[in-house]
Amino acid sequence: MDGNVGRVERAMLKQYLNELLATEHGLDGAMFCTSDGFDLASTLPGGVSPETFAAMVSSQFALGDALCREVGHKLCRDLVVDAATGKVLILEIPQTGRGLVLAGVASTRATLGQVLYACRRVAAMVGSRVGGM
Amino acid sequence: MDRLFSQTAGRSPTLSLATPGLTPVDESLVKSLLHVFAGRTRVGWRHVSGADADVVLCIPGSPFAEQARHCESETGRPVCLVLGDVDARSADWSRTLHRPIRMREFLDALEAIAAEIEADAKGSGRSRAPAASDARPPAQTRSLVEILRELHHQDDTDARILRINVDAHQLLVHLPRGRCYSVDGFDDGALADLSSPYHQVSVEPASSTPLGEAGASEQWIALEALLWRMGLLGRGQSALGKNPAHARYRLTCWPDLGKIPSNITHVRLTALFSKRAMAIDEAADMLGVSPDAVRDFLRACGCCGILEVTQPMPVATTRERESRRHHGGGGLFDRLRAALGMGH
Amino acid sequence: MQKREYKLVFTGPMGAGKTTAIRAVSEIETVATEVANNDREQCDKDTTTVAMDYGEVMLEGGSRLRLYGTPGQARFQYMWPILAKGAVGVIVLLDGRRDDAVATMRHYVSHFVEVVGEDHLVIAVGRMDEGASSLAAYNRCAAELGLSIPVVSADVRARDDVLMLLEILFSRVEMAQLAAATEEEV
Repeated sequence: MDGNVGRVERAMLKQYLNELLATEHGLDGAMFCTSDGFDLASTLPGGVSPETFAAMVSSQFALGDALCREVGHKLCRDLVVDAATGKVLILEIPQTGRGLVLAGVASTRATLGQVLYACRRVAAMVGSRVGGM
Repeated sequence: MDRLFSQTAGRSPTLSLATPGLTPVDESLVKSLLHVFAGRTRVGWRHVSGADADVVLCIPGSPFAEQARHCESETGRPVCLVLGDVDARSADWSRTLHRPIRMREFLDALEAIAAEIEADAKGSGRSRAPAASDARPPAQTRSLVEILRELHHQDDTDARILRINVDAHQLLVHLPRGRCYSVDGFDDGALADLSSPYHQVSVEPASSTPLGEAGASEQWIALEALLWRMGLLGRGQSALGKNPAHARYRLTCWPDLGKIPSNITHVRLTALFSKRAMAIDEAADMLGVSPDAVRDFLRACGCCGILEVTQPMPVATTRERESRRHHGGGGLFDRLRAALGMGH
Repeated sequence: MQKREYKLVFTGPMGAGKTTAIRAVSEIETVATEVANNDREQCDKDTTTVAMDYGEVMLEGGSRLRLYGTPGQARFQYMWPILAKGAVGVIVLLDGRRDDAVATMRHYVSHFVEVVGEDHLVIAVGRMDEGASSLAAYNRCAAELGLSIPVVSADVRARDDVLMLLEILFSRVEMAQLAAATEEEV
């Protein structure tokens, strides 16, 4: 299951992921997945199942969409889940028809604004590269 | 617990029947009829593939027939029964079944063969020479309801379409789809009549007619729906009458409420009788419906083959029953029904 | 009258009709979490639910019946306990055309019977006209699990069929309570 994402695109996504994790030290892991919950490229903290994480990310993002629609804010762009020992960020990849999602797992040492900015920048770059795929 | 319509008590021995060389249609019909006969014959019958069986049904002149007859004369086994056309009976074959296979004749033949084998096994020394028709034990006449119920419960759908002759009426049964068609339709009067056990009923294969060709698809009704309606309409012909007045009943599983023409009382009675065994009056009191309505319901369940009868319990007094009476259920359920537009 | 909230869950594999069933009876515009479906091998449809479906039926006195639908794909199974917690009943929808429908029933029933109990489960098999004509295999499956649960055919596109499922569930819970109460007396 790959949402029409081929091997070349997957390799490209993996490269973006590696660059993001290399430059943003507050991130412990990240994943590109389809909006229906299939892992496309991921580097996650040990013990986290990419399959389960992708499914949960897609559920959360869809609930975010439903929540935003309910209050008249149209579609959800980003979700930030603030937990006791870290954060989870979920962002839409623009220009992909809401087909792709980027999720990041941040530690307590991460600065939210900084991590969010880095993730948005990568999401925008990926969107411009693979938009319409 | 005894099944309400069970006619055979205890376990009986089983004989195997092979049908080498028969056409797929004939073979399917034989298999279907063996399903229909299950539990109703002197011994159990199972169909086996190949030619290694207690009894072989084959075409005269075929290699299987010659081989079976040779073995029969040498060893007494297997018993060879041939399938021939109406005028095909000859001195060569002592046991002939005529094509098209008719349920009654087939049943008689099997019962006769079983009787012979049984007699041989007891060392009676009786010859096997008499033809099947000469050694006929009393055959059981099966009602349309019983036949339809067996067809409804059989899983083997190799057979395609059967024609059931009920006196002058004809029904077609499409086995893979579990549906039945009558050119006369199924109005209440016809169904009440068909539910009588006093008809002459025979079953034979029909040409492979696609569902709908014999009539509009809506005219093919589900076997379960047909049985259900026959049960509801068959008042006065019910096997319930054989049971003690305070017998307790229980459903072995739910009827397919998506197929049968049910109402909310049926749903609630189903829920009640599937939960525990209960007497008719007890259920009627609990739900505030008439005992006749409960009887109709149970008869329909009996027709569908999902009813068990258990030993009577001490009868509760009217006052005791009154104290259990259910007055409209929990507030939640009534409010849900009202909100969803479900009537009582 | 005290306002109360009741919860009912529709579950079953992808494409069984959970979203459709909730839409058929909900009095509010349903909340859906449908996204583009990339798993065409499992089910050939355009969209799939990834979190839940949600609908409501208002009851007299301001109480409310909440209808939840689970996602159908195995990887979303983590949503089951989240959605089924506190449910008054669970309706398992199955696609009768599929060869694995009985095995699927076993999987769902084994899970949800632990969550809501035997008396709060109903099995509905859809598309029976295109699959096996009989529910015998499903009833056998229930018997093998040692359970007495209603198995019926239903076309959840039809509101009446969905109402029938609700009626079966309500009747079952209601009659189980009644039968238990009277059994004690007997």
